[in-house]
Amino acid sequence: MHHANHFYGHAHVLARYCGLDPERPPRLHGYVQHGWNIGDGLAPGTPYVARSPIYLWSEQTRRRAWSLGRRNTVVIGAPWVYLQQLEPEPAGPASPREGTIFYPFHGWEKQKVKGDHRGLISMIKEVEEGPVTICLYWQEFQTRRIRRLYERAGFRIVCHGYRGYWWDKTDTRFLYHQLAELRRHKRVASNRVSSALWYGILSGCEPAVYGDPMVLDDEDPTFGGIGRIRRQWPELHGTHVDVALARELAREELGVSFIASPSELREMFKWPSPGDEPL
Amino acid sequence: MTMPDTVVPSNLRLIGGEMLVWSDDDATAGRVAAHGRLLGTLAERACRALPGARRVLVAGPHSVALVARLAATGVKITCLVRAYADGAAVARRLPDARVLCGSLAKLDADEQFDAVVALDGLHRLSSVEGADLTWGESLERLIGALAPDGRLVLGLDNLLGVHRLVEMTPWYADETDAAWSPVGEYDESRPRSLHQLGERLGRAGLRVAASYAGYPLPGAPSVLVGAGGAADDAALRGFLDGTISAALGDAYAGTPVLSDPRR
Repeated sequence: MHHANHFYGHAHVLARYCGLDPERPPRLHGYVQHGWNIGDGLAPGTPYVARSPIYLWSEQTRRRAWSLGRRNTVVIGAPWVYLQQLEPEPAGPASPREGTIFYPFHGWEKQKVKGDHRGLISMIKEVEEGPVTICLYWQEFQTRRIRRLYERAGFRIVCHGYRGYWWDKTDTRFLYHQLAELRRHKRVASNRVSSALWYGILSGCEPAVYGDPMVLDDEDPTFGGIGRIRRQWPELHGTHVDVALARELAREELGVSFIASPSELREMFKWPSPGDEPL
Repeated sequence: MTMPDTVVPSNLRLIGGEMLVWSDDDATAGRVAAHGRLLGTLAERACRALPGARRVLVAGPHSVALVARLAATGVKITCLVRAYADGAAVARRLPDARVLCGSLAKLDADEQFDAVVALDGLHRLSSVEGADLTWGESLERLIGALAPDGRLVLGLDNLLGVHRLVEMTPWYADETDAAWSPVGEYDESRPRSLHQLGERLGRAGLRVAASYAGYPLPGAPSVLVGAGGAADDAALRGFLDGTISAALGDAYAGTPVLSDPRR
């Protein structure tokens, strides 16, 4: 089982959904797509064991994966959708959503992001009317130079936690932090279409995509990158977009209609039933 | 996976839904664009019938040679293909042609053409990306692109055609990379017969000027048989049988088949 299954606490959320111990998810048979993807669902360079099942977020990704030679693909929807089911928005009078949470495009351990953060900051100030929260990925959060730029601009800075790498230091509450933050805000925005944007739309925020999309070190050009995303999802780009349409797109990209039942997931993942001896 | 030649020809525009690492005309992968002398003749005739230098949309994968033949008649060609490699090949060979690379769903709804050529059929006009149009939806889009009095040259694969009946592997067992969505039976909007096709086109406001049954293979028939006429004439029937039989024999020589296509 690939360590990416544990990113963001995905396996933990799925274990909870299946009635199993969320702190100790059993070994998962196959690869769970861990982020929104315009490729075949696996991150580029993932060492793939032939014929292992790949659990994808959307029918769109499945079609694409098939055309790229991937078989044994199953669409189960995004782990985020399962989380939203487990943690429905509290009923009754809630504090009104306020302001915008902005997710600047980020790198990861092997790829840094290059771009004009200052330019982005001034654009955010121009566009956003209410208070602004910047959510930095752990890598940028720890890079003092970048973090200070956003702090000095007067934004509230948050980080949802450490994503985890090779099963180490995974913050299993990552997605819960993210859900809570998204539900506080009226708008979710980013300089690139990303998982966070889709999550935000599904959890009730109004989306926006604007600003310099920035450049990722050695970005894989095979799937067309930013240009391709703009051409395929033009409706999402802009400072104010059609929210109803965005919600429909989010439901498709997160595979909301493909959610499986706990017993279906347990069957596919080769997980025990609750109460059985652990494997 | 590598990107093909990344210098994008200036007459090629990516419109969304494009497939960057795919080709519909890749013999090694068992995929071929519509091609051949007969199809070329059909399309060419339709273009020549248009008065003046008119706009023609060639929708779907057609061989470069076929498109070049149309361009030679003097019409203004726009090609719509979903695969970048195919679009780039046409764009480089025909610098005066306009190539749009992407899905039919992304074709500008306002643009109109005097003729639309879709001899490859409608199933390769949607891509893996974005909206997966049904046969019926694809037809509506193409008809929407036709100017009043425009001509449509359309090919349709007969799912009960000889080429399918003799295939060793049935269509539903197709596991090739191109088979990401099952075709045919599950699409209710797709006509099952020539008669149904005629009806469908009639409902869309088109008059069928001519129709042909093609043999042996839909992408490149070597025999086109027009409707009507043969029923009463034994000699003509015999001639047709012989011709079709020979064409099928040639096409399948050396290929394992379920049963003899010539029968």
